[in-house]
Amino acid sequence: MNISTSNLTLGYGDFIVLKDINVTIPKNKITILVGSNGCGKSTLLKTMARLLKPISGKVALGDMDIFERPSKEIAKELAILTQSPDAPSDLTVFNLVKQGRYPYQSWFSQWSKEDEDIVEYALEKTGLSDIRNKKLSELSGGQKQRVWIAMTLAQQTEIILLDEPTNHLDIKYKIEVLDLLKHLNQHEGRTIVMVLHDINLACRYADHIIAIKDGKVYDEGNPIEIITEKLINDVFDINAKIIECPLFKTPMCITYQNLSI
Amino acid sequence: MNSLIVARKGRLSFIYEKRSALILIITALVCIFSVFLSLSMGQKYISIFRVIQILFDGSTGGDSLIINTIRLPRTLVALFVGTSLGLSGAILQGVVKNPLAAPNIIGITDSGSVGALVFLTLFTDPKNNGLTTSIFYMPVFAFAGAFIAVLIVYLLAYKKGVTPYRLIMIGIAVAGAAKAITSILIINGPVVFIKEAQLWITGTVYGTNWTHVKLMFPWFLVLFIVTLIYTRELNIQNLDDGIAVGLGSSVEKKRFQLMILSAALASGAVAVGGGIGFVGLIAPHICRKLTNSSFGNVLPLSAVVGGIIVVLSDIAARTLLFPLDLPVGIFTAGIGAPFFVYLLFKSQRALRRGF
Repeated sequence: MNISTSNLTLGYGDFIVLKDINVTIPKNKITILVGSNGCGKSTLLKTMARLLKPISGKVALGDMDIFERPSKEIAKELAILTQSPDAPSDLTVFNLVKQGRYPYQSWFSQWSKEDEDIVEYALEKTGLSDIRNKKLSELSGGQKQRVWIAMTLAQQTEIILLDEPTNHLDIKYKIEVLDLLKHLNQHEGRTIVMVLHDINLACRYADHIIAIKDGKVYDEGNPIEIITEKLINDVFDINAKIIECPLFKTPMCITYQNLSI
Repeated sequence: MNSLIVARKGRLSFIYEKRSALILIITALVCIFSVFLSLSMGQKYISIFRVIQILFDGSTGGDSLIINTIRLPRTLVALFVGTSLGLSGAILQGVVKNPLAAPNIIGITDSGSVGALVFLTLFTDPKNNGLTTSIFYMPVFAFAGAFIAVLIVYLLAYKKGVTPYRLIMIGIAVAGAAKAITSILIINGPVVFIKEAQLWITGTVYGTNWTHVKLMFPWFLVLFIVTLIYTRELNIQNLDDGIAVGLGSSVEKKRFQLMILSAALASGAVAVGGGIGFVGLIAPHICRKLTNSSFGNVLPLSAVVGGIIVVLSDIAARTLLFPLDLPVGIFTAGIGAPFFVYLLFKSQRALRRGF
């Protein structure tokens, strides 16, 4: 199932953030939205997940308008992890991951064998099986983020959207979370769309980058093809020298304001 | 996995934490014990064995009269008022995602008081200081007052949907306005009803009888069952709105339904018991301390713990300063407030979201 937007205009009240956005998220790929603060990348992501209503235009999941389908049906095809979500800190890992099964459950069917198997799978994938009974307050930032990712996995969707999943994480946990997402993409073919601040990590993990500037899509495509010094300068308003990453062979930006400090 | 109870049959399936089930059973036993204690204590002490004998043998006589016509209805009313307030508070705290929410904070209780005072103002005959109609209509007015308040809070907080933050702020404002109206009514009202009004505002189950029980029980039972059906929704409401929508919940609709449910429970309790405070705030807190924030635990436990608090407080209210029969609200607040502070101090470590 594909997500695509047509003539999407987004904003808050009279304030227009994005205008006439037409993008198609490639299936089974990792797509990363980049842009400077306040450019509307999170707004776009949230709208693709039906959390925000557009001023005009459409978001289509498959060939259906996302706002016209029952929300529970969409929740079986698309999961969203918002930025630094909050939950009562005395919930256990298991308690929270289990919530991912909500769209499949009813009052009569609160814990089917399928629910159990998939939650087990989600806990195992995210390396949380052994600490399932720990409370959220006892977890590190990286573990907590894995719990939320496990919850979206329990939702068993083809598409996963994430709004800055590495926000506030140490570099070690950043890599841990991104590696997990890459793994899910490569081994299970999940379509992953995320907003990421770090342009170098975006280049390393993305198959497809959408760069947003001044309410429009500045450019989109594979990082190797589209990331140029001009793009960095235009989109982020900073100078950059681009070299090839010695490890991953992806573009790496060395950014600077002024060469003589 | 062995810490869970899983029941499956055909397409039916349920899950519960073993430890929570055990705690629920223990608190239920404590609750039953409190009820028997309440039946046994009073002006005339009747041993618990005698109480059981009277209840189950149907024997007659003096003790039986005391228990069946005075203590049993009063105890049951205290129990149902407590369970309703506990549940109401638990629901509200989930809906506004804030553990400081309670029926009295968002104006339900104070508006109930306005309803009760409007009744007293309208129907007190200044000539002979008596009521011109039956006191039994007072709960109807209290109920209407409380319920109208919730609708006002919701409507005022509505702005393309309702955010928990706005609900609390508007709730506090409405509570303040209701308090002001209460003061005006008391100051301008006939002197005779000041005592009656004050008693009612503090909260009392004095003089309740079988009619009250018959009014409250079905109301409570139906709402209790509906609440249990909404357990899953509350677990989702307790997460961030974005996550809740992402999981496919119709967040706004469920929030409104849950608000109404909470209001209905609190209004029922306020109508009969008046402004009994702190139970709706504290019962869910105690339950979270005993188990965790999962509403599968918090809801049934809050009902039971709320019941225990009011029943025990009522025992204290009518025996400690005998022959004075004090309003039970003094004790729920008098015991509740310090206990609440204690809980806050004890749990400061885990205070990220106030829990």
